[in-house]
Parts: sequence; structure tokens; C-alpha cells
Amino acid sequence: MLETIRKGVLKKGVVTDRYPYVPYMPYDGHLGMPMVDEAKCTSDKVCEQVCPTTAIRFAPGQLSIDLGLCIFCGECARRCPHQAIIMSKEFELASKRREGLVRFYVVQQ
Amino acid sequence: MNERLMGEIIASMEEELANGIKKTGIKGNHVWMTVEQSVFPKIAGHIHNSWGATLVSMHAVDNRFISSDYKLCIILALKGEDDFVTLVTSVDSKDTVFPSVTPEIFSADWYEREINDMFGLQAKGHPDLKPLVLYDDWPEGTYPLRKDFAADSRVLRIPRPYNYRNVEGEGVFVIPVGPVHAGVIEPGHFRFSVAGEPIIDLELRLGYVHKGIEKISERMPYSKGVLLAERISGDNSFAHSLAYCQAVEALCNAKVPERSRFVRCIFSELERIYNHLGDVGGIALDTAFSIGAQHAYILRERVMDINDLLTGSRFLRGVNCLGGVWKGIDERGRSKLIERLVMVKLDFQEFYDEVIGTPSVMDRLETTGVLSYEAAKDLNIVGPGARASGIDRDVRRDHPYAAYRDLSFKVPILTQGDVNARFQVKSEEIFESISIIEQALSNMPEGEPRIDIPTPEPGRTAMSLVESPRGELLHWIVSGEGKPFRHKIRDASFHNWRAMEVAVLGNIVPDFPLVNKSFSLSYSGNDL
Amino acid sequence: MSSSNDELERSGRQLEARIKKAFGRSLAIREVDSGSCNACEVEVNALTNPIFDIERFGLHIVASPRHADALLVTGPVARNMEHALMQTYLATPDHKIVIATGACACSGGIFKDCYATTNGLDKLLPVDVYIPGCPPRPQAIIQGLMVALDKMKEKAGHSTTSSKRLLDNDNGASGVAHDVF
Repeated sequence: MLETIRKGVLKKGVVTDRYPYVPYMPYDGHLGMPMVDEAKCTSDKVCEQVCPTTAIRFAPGQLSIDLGLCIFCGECARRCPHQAIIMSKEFELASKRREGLVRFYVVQQ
Repeated sequence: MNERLMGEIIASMEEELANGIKKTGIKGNHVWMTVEQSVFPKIAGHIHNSWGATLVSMHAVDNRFISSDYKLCIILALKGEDDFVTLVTSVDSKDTVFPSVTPEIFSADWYEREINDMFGLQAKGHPDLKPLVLYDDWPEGTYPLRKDFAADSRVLRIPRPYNYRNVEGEGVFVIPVGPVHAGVIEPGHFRFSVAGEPIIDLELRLGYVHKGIEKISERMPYSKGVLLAERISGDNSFAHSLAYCQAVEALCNAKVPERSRFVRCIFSELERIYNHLGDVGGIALDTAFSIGAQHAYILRERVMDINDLLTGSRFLRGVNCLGGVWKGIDERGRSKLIERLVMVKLDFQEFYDEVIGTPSVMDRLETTGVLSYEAAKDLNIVGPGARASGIDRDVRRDHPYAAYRDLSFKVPILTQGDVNARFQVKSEEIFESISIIEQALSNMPEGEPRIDIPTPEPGRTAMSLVESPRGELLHWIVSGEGKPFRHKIRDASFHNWRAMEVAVLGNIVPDFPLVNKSFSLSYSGNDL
Repeated sequence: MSSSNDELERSGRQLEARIKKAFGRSLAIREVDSGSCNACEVEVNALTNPIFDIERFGLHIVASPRHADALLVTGPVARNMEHALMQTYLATPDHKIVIATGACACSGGIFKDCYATTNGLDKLLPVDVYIPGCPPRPQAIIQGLMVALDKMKEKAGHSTTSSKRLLDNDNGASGVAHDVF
């Protein structure tokens, strides 16, 4: 048992992540919150069609992404012909209100 | 599959059975036989028993709007060959009774209960045709997979009785457990009957996490279906999406790029490693060997971290797509992966030696939860659980997919069938998986990771078998207009849950978690 | 290089103090799977491994709802689990908070509008905190739990007037979790 503890605890050292004391930076290509580049979006609604959970909705002049519905699959970012959506590294999204999960963007009509 | 083999199969049947075969056809390594309903169980039983075939799946299709009947299929895999036999029969749309296959093939039991729940087709002669999923308050006559049932309909709650097995005797107690368990695991209900310490009977009631995945899939276009497949069983995301993609690719005879085949192998094996690490860690934890367990969990976290680095998802989601993979492995990812695997290999060897060298752990593992070869055979157990009971079957070797044909690996087989044997099989598979990844990385050809594939024509059928970390899983698709007409999903756990009922007998209740962990069963994959 | 490191260190320490304030009390969490695919369970389990180790913040995952302050619910609430979920909710002592974890619990996710599921947990229970993600990574769940602790304080504040005043004065802590991240 002593041997186990020596090998396990002393040799391994501390492995615990410092989060939340130190911010965590996800790797490149992380499937985090989808973000829209309002300037690039042409409202061609490709993302709305490919979204498997109807999280992306278009209204005239406005695009909304409901993070409560979003399954972070990255399909919208891959299929957008203008690269107007990217999967950001943002992952700290918890909210006290359901409405707090909806992100709005102003896009051209 | 060739004509000769099919001829031999038919020739081996009695005349009465052979006369019941109405139509045959060969497609690739598949033989299709359309047979009379009356001889359907007998023919299935004959191929299963005399040819040593294993039951891959049994399912129904609501074909009423096309040929005004229900179709019933059984898929059998022939022993030792990469060949399948599919038997098809029809069930009348009014007289919804068919002869039960369970008396011939015992493992068809749950399939027939499922068909009864989902399609309302009753297997006549089935020993206990109680509901598998739709129990308690689902009204009679609710058959979700029938085509005239709307996927988003709200079903009334009308109570109906559920008959548990009755165990009686002096000093016999029943311990009901679940569906909400003490640990952070999925819901299911277990009834232990104990006489003193040992368990004398265990009855499972699953189906709590039934979400109607097969029905949802029928309204999902193929490209979105991949995302649904990833969410059938969370920790087997890659295996499920791979099976789905392979089935759809087979529907339109698409040939995926060589490079994607190797990438798929690499991610499949990464998934196997992190699942097995979780299982062996769980086994150590349930024997109160906490320090060892935490080592395994650290390793598991390291593997999930490399998943995250390579794909952006800790569960390897968003990798598979129709026609290949979205993400290849670049030079940087490759060197990181190799580095990490070397570390995992060394550390895991240390963990393994630690566990093997601790008598108090080994005492709990050995002779606990024994599943005999015969029981495993009859219940049609798959995956590491089967290999620990002496069943020599591994889809990667017997029905190679992706690039497994070009990779060499050995399939560990043990015969004791206890928790220790399953622990050993999983440990060895971790080492094998690391070696497979190393081979795949060095043999991986250059090129595009994906191609565009056409939308499959309606009315075609394809299936795909994949060896998930839990064992063989099946996706079987009949194509419709741009989406599946019928999508049958069969997770490894659908077969393996039955093993629990047998393996725990005679063991004490505190050993149940240990046995459960050693089989590593999915509730979500089972209930769909 | 060194100055930026110092800065990082300093802001880290400030953050630490604020987080400690947010984690001013312990929280006993009961996890209920109402039909998830197991990925959320894997991530919640990961919280207790040596890497994330939430026990160091005084967060415990407990075995019974009767010991719990918070219910962490995953899954789209499968029809067969509704009854068990309600029973678990009723068994949890009051001033409980309900945390919807993962896309399924927030809205039904990919399983919504189906005969066997409910479109999200808030159709059945009052939800206090939503943690989106499919599944949310362990760090995201930790952040969600910080928001939950904050909410817990707010809720306790409504119960008795005396403690409300106390907590109002302590408002420096509430909302911390949110504006920092």
C-alpha cells in the first residue's frame, strides 16, 4: 500500500486543473458558442436549413441563435458559404433565465 | 456470399422448410430469403442452430402503404465467414399475429417484445410478451413506429398493470432499486430477490430513457441523421455515427476516400480506449481501490483531452459525415497523439500492475459474476463481455469495415467469464487499440478526407455492423425520400443486458455494481 | 513576458477571491438523468475526478435527493421518467434549485417534438439555472454551478426578512459569477 501511495501520489504530483481560478482556453477547433459575423452574413438562410434543432431563426433584419436548443454540432459553421458563422471558444454560457440563452444579431435583409 | 453456399444452406433444410422459401436473392455478402410465415421460425432456427449463426437483429417494417402488409426481418451472421442471411416474411395488416421465433432462438425474446410494443405485432408462442418499453401508462393500441402514428403526437396516460416475476419462499426478500440510482448513472429499475445474502433472481425493467430515436430518425434528412446517431449513446458517439454513415454510404454504393477509412479507425480506437479506461477504473472503484481508480480516471481524462484537441469535442462528435470525415489529423495533431499514447501506455501498464498486485482487489474480481460460455452463447452476448466468456467474435476481424482489413491486431479471448476475465480482456484491448492507432497513423495515405455522396434512391436497404467499445452494434436503414423510411438501431447493450440477469445469480448484492461495471451497459442505447 | 505573467497572476488572485466568495457555502447536488444519452453523465462524473475535483469548492454529489440542495437534471425528460423525476423533486428539501444541464434539459435539443419526450425541463419544473452544451464540458458545468450558488443565495434571501437584509449587504458576491465570465 505504501508503495502504491508513493508511486501514485508523490510521483504524479498535482494534476488538478486550476479552473476557475485560471481561465480555461479551449483548443483550436473547439465547438463552442456559434457566433455570427454580421458583416459577412447575406441572409441566405443556409444555416437555418442545416440546423438539426431549429436553433437558428431568421426574422427580417435579424438572426437569432438559441443556445438552449443548439447542440454545438458546428454544422452551420461548416455549411455557411460565406463563413459568416464560426464556432467560437466561448463555453461559459450558463444563465438564470431561458431568454438569456438567445443571442441576437443584426443582419442585412 | 456465393451461390454455392446458398445452395448448401437450402439443401441442408428439410423438404418442408425448403418448400417454404418463396424467393431468394444475393447482394454482396448478403443472402435474402423471402419465406412463408408458418416456417419462418423453423428456418431461422435451422440456420441459427445447424450453421452456428448468430442473431444480429430482428425487426419489423410497416410496409402497409406500399405492399399492404408488415415485413418482418431476421438477420443472421454465419459463423466464421463474412456472410449474412436475411430472412423476410410478411405479417397481415389485419391479423397481426406471427409465430414466435423465441422457442427456436432464445435471444429473439426481447426483439419480439420490442416489435409488440412498437408495431403491435404479437408473437404467438412467446413465453412472456409483456411490454419492454411502453409500460405503466401507455394506452393499449399505441404503436409508435407504425406509419400512421405521428411522431409529435401527445399520448394520453392510461394506467395498465405490469407483472413482475413473482419470487416466493421462506426468507425471500425483494429489493427494488431505481430508476433513480445513488450514483451518477442512467435510470433503470432492478428487482433483486435475495435469500439471505445471495441474489436468487434479478429482474430488469429498462425503457426509462426511451426517447423515440427510431421515429425521430424517420423525419431527419440523412445529413442531420448523423448528428442524431451521435446522440444515441453518448460515450459511443463515434461508433454509432460511423455505423450510420457506413449504412448510408452503402445505400448509394459510395466509396469513401482511403484516408477517411484510416481516420475512422483511429477515432474508433480512441473511443474504445477512453471507454475501457472508464470501465477498468470503475471496477477498481467498486472494489474500494480508490487510488487505482483515480489513476484510471486521470488517464481517461488525458484521452478525452486528446479527443478534444483533435476534433474539438471530447466525445468525438462532429467528426463523421456522409462520405468520409470532416476533420483529418494534421502533423501537429499526429505528433501530439503519438506522444499522448506513449504516456497512456506506460501509465496504464503501471495501473494494471498495481491492480493485479493488490490481493484485496483480485479477491473481489475473481469468480465474481461468472457468465458461462453456454449462457453467453444462448443470450447472444457481444463485445468484451462475450470474449471474456470464450466467444471468439469481433466485428473488426470477422466483418472488417473502415481500414481494419489493413491493420493487424489480436483479439483477446478468455474463458473464465468472471469480472476478472472481463477486466483482463478490456485491459488487453487498450494495449491492442494503442497499437492499432500507431499502425494506422503510419499507414495513413494522403488525400482528401471526404467526398460528396449522392442522396440515396428510395426503397433500398443497407446495414452496417460496427464494433463499438461495448460490442457489436447495428444500423439498418431502408431509404425513403431523402430520409430513412425505417431506421433500425441495435446497440450492443440490447443483447448484453440479459447477461446481468444470469451473471449476478448467487452473488451478493454489493457485487452487483462490480458486475454491472464489468459489462459496461448503456441504458440509452438499449431503450432508444 | 514576466510583467504579463505578473498581471495574469494578480488578476488570477483577484478572481480567486471573488470565486471563493461565490462559493461561500457548500452545495449538495443530486443528479437526475431524465433521459439523456449518457454524455452529460460522463461529464458530471468527470467533475469528481482528480482533474476537476469539485469537492475542493464544497460541492458534493450526493446519493439521495433528501440530502440535496440542488437537482442537476439532464435529458429531455423522457415520458417514462416524468413520474420518477417529479418524485425526486418532491423529495428534495425546499429552497431547492433546479439546474437544467445540456441542450436536452434546456429545450429538448435534438429529441424535441417527439411522442416520448418533453420539450425541456422547464415545461415541468421551475428551472433556476440553464447550462447549455451538448454535453457542456466540465468547466462549463463548474461555471453553471457558480451561477447556481448565486441563485441559491438570492432564493434564500426571499425566505426570511432578516437573512434577506444580510444577503443584500453581501451583494458584492451575487452576480460575480456572471459578470466575470
